[in-house]
Amino acid sequence: MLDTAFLRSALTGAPSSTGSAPATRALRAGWREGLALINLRGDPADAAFLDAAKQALRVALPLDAGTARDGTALRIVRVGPDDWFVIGGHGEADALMRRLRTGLAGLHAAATDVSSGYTVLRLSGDPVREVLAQGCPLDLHPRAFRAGQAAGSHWFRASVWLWQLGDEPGFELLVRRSFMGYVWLMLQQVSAECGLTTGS
Amino acid sequence: MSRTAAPKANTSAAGEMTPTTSMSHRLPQGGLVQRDRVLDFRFNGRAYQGLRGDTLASALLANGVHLVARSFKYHRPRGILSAGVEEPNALVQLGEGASTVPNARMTEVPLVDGLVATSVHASPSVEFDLRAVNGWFSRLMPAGFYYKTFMASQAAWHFFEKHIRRASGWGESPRERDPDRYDKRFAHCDVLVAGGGVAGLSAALAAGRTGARVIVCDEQQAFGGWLLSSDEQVDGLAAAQWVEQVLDELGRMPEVQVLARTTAFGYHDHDFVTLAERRADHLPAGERPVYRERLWKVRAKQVVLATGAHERPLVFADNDLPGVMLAGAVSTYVRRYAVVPGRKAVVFTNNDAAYDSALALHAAGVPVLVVDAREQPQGALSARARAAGIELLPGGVVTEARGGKHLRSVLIQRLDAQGRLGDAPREVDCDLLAVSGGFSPVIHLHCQAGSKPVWSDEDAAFQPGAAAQSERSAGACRRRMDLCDAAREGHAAGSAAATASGFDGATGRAPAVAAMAVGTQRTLWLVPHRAGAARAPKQFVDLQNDVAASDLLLAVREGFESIEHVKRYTAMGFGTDQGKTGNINGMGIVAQALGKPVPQVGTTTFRPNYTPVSFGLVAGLELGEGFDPVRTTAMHAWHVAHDALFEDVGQWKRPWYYPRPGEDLHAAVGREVLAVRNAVGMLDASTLGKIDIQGPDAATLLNWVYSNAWSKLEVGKCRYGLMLDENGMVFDDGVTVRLSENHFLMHTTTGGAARVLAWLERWLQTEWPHLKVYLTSVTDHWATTALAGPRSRDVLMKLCSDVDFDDAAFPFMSCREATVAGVKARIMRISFSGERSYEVNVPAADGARVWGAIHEAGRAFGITAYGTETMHVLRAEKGYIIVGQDTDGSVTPVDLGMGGLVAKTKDFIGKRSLARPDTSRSDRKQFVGLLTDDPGIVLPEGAQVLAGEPGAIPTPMAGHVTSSYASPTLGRSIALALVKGGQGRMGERVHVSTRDGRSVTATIANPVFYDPKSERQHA
Repeated sequence: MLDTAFLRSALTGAPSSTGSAPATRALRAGWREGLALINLRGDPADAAFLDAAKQALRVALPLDAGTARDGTALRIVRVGPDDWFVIGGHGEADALMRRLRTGLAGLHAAATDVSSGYTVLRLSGDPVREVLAQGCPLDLHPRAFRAGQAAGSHWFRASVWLWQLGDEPGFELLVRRSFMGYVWLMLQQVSAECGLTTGS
Repeated sequence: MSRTAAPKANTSAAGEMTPTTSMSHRLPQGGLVQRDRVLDFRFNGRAYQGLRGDTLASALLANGVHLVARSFKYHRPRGILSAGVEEPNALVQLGEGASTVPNARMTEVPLVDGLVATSVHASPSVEFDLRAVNGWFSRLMPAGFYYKTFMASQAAWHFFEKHIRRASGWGESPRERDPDRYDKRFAHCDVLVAGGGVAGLSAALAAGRTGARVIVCDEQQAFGGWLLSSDEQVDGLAAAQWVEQVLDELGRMPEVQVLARTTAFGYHDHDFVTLAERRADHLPAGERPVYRERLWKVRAKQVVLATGAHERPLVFADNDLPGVMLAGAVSTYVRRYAVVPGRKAVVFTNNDAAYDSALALHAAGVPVLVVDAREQPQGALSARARAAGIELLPGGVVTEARGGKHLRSVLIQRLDAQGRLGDAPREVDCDLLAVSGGFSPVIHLHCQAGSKPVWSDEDAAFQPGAAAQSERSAGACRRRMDLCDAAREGHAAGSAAATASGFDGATGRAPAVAAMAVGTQRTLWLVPHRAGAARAPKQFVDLQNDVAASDLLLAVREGFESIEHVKRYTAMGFGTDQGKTGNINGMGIVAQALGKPVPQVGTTTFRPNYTPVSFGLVAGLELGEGFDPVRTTAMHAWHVAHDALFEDVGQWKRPWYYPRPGEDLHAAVGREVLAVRNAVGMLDASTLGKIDIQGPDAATLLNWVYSNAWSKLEVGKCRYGLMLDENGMVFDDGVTVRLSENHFLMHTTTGGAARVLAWLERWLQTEWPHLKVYLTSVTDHWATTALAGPRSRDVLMKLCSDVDFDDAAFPFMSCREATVAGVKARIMRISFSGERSYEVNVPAADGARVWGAIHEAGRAFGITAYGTETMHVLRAEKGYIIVGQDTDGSVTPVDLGMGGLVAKTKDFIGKRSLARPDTSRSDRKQFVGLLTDDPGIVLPEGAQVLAGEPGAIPTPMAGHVTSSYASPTLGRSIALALVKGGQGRMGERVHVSTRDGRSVTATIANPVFYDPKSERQHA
């Protein structure tokens, strides 16, 4: 059974007691809770849909496979040909949903608030690629995966969406809420050599 | 902890002093060992000393220890044959306790201070093995002996089996849990180089210089391969120095990963290669990293195989005596480890390469005689040996080795061109016999990749054929036995691999080594003996499995012709070494006996793994808690804090029941059930699958995937649906609510969530792409608190003021948007308990808070948290099914008595199947209730319902119990069952068999045991 003290800290994002390695070499990890997360579905061949989405989000939807786009306040991750995650700031879900519902009225599209369904895990520090490679089969080498790219994969047995933050060795993973405890457990396991400091 | 050798005080324990002098066979200088790092170790209970850089094998040889093992079948004394991965004899149990490793090859075990090792398969000791008596009777135990003797009768086998099992086998598995940790890495590269000898290093250099991403690995303690055993020069440097320089250059290339002590053990499809890195065992205890071993899962664009070659022994009488050693291994022990494995040596060879060992021994001052099967030795090394004045006997063979526990002498005879032995044998005293029967290229990875090897008559060896994947071989594994050729070929292979992966930058020049004529080879599979193979002392082919030439010849006489059959009959190649030294000799002997060329006898199949891989490595970190994801709901911490016990449902942890002090399952569930029936209970229902369905064709989709009709469902109303597969069998169920004209929310079973979403997507994407519907999983988004019981409405009304809870305004099976405890919520009035019930859905981020608020508000009404066990009892009292428990994929809605949910006027998946004769017959197993005559007996779930009276054999079965509980509400046991024709047999008495062979009588009843008119959930 999961250690409950750890679990509570994992679920609340409170610092864990494991971080003792030197900060430069250690993995930094933290949950970014409370972000607005909207799952947007629509036909990319439908110009009216693309236009309405752009109006509502104030940034165009990324249309190429494996890409993400940053707007001024939003990150939009393309997760399928007709499937996007719109990620906004804390507490913005209702406003985003209103804008999308209004803008997309009359079109065949679906906007669903899944802000509570996922949590963003931010990982940074030198060992981040090694730590991801312990459970994720993707090639995240800078030559193969850059900022602006996004991919669906798995980390150990949790399915995740991930993207890179800028050019730093930093990534964000979109994790289903019910897998947070498991992901944190594996994070502690894989960082036994490099060390783990909490907080994003 | 290691320490320096001098100056050194006397040690306390007797027999543990004067380190270097005790290494009686260590040369005073030379070698790649650190003479100032003396290490203590124990072998078979005795203390020895070695040097840093030693393997366990070289350290034992340095101490003059040759007898290290007993053989598998005959318990014959065995010594160290090789200096590497191919070792068949020298297996040890390494370490003690939980971290122990069985069957480690001494020749690969890095010596560390405090190392403890024992021989496997010797009792009570290697010096005195009681079962060596087997050897005296070996003539009575030919191949197939066990099978013929003991399997003749089943009864005899059962008697003999336990004795045979005890006598066989090698090391022991640890009995405790492994305390070490192992991890895994996915890796990607442009060029993977397997092997770090001269060819592999040249390939890695060439590829690395282009800027390609390169991984180069080598299984040994140090890179260099044969270079570490050689006295040749590369680029004008001593070979070992050149290796240092190359590693330095590779280390400065940011895209090159150099992995020492790493075995490429599997070549799978799509150039996926698995590597095992041993990271800890070569380090002193205090310096070991967290992960003992690492599994690398490499996806390479191009692969260079530079895996080298294994030297083959020669097959002659008593060739298994300690003191018989591969010639290359002798060179390695002398030059790399500065150890002389003997004081007086004979070299027996059919090729020129073995002369290297004669030169090495000669330089170390050991007298050597070379017996060369070739009439006219050719090649650079034999020329050097002649020039050095080494005694040489061409056209001769060693027909027999002699000695007790160690080689004492050899018998030498002439062998003419026709393979006939000459005059009487000459006996020559020696304590070391270096043998070489040629080389077998290590084509294991090449063949694992799917490529077919080709036979070379010239070298009597299989070599790589056309590559089936993006691999190319270089060096000794392609029969390039000259360092010069191997270096050039490695460089070319590395360059070509880099180019093929898109890097065509400069690769520099190939390393320069002086060319050397490798000479010829005389094919010699089995050295004749004057007594003939059947009567001669054993001529071993597979040392690990004690397979002798006579066994192979017997197999041929008994009619086995394919090498695959011969292997299975004799067990040749079935040991932990997989026949690395023996297989080709065995194939040669069989081919010779059959009068066929070797390739016609067959090539053995090379399968992963190249060498044994530890279970820890395979498991990695996915053990214990990390074995499978544990999914938890937003309220999990509350459940833990309230002492819930948990049940695994799929990957979810769901509260099973909440025992109070002193309560067992029965007592807790009784309390929880009655609380729901009489007051109010609360259940965490967050784990149910939830799929958001939007689009103008949403209702059409529901119509097609559910057996019942959906078009007319009003907005704000809920409906229960049964989902069938194409065969008309129930495969999921749940309640779906219409949120707006084109917007539905579907609930699935907890375990079926992913399956149902995939099912719906499959139909939408492959069969019905014209339907305008989008599906989104919202399972994790919503946290659901189910409130059930007559007081549930009272609790909710304390927390929610913006909904009219009047039954007329908010009737059963309807849904309202609301604010509960200040959180925007969706309340559904649905029931899985038969009581008035409301399910409150809030975003999971607020789940714990709202759950807590409901619990607090319910205190005044005696609110009781309940778990899945109580949920099961409540639903069983009402006859509600659980898909997967009361159904098993062979149950239709009609079988369940839910024919009313099968729409007649629309189409849906499974509809046609329901009209088949089989699905419409009346004697199918049907869902019924069972009431035992004795209300105190709770039938076991799964118990068979008998068709007739008990006692008849065989007894026809009429069905089985699917769910069974003690019902606190009814004060008696209840059961649900599937019984043939059950719906027409109400009131009939049946016998239900129990596990102890007895039977219980019960009456078939309506499965709705409680509130059959369902009045309670409406009011």
